Amino acid sequence: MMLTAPPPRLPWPTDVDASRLLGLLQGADLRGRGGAAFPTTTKIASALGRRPVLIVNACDGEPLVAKDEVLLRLAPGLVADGAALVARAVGATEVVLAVHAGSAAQRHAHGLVAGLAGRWPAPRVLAVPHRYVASEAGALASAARGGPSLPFDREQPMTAGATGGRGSVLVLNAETLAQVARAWAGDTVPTRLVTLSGALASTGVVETTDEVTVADLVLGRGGRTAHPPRAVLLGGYGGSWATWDAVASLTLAQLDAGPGLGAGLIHVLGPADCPVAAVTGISDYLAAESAGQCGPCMFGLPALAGDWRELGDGRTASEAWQRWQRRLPVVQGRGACGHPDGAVRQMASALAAFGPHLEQHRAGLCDAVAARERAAVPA
Amino acid sequence: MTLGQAQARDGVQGAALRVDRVACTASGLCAGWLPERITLDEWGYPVLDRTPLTADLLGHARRAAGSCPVRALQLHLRTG
Repeated sequence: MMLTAPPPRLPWPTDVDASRLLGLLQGADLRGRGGAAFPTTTKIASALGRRPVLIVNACDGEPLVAKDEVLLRLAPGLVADGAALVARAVGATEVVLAVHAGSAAQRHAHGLVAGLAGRWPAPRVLAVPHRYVASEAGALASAARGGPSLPFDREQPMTAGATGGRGSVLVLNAETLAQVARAWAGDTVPTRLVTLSGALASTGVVETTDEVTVADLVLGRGGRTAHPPRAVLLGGYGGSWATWDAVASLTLAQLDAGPGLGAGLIHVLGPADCPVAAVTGISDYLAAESAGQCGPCMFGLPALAGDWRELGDGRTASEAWQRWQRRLPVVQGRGACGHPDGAVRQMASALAAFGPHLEQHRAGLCDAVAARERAAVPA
Repeated sequence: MTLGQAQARDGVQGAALRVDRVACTASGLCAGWLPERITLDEWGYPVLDRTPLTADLLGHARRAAGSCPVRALQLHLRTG
């Protein structure tokens, strides 16, 4: 375990056998914990021999997720060891620990880097602005070389080096690197960090295994609720909605095969939370957080958010419905980064999960309002 | 069938259009040159049809790329 046990004290390897490291990660089937779940072995292997800049992403870019901060606070040694191992394996020229400026993670990051002399090549902290896309891998690579904290259009993986003479950059999430250290130390029990959020008695970051069910995790660690939750948002704002009934009995491993857990978020809506309002809030946020660089994102996300607002409003729902259906596939896949894709995923999944609730809104009704009113009157 | 005829039917191996989304300013000129593969969305930004470029379209594809005022549209011709 990462958060409850003292970190393993690794004998410091002077030379890391890359093929052994990749073999261990392959055996653990480690996938990136930042959101995209990309196979870690594939990513590291693509950087071998390219002497990349290694960027440790500890930004918790998803606003409801807090795992990177918790890791830097409770298990900084694991992040340090994981990054050191990968840096050695790929021959990294420098290691950059990326955090949001002014965050709690930034304070931990400075403490961590100060104690790393000799373990990371050229260690430093990179503090990026509090914008959703600022922690996107390309935006971090741009900021690390002194450019703007903005995604850029790339034809090939950043590990290969980009056009325009930029060198190779390898970006890995802080939890992914902590898992690398665990695998190297022989700790083979797969765990993951999940941030529980929303209508629960107890919220925050928990460490769990892949075999736990959503219901056991959410109700066991988040506290039993008087009524079953209504729905969950999985992964992050750029993730997927699902009704509670659809996912409660699934294990996290089973979620991986379906909607995925993204950056490890499970955000719970209770009976008194209106899902239409929740989706509106997130869609508006994602529209406002577009970097404003790519047209389909800059114009498409506000248009989609506006359509959703009308759908929930009910009065002009059928025209909004047609526009929204037409626009979703047009916006999908047409940004330099994955921001518009995440926004589309979130909205499209909301339709699948909340169709019946939208029907209530079309009739001018909302059972979440009823649930709130019920809570306010004596039985 | 000659090579030219085969390319006109099946597409030219390695020929592909690519748009730099950040650079694109929605001039719309590319869609004028190559409506067979490029349409514009409601905001004026190009939507590329990934159907392989056939030999008879290569000239127009080259002009479409050349027409872009910010060189956001590129025609890649990979060999081998």
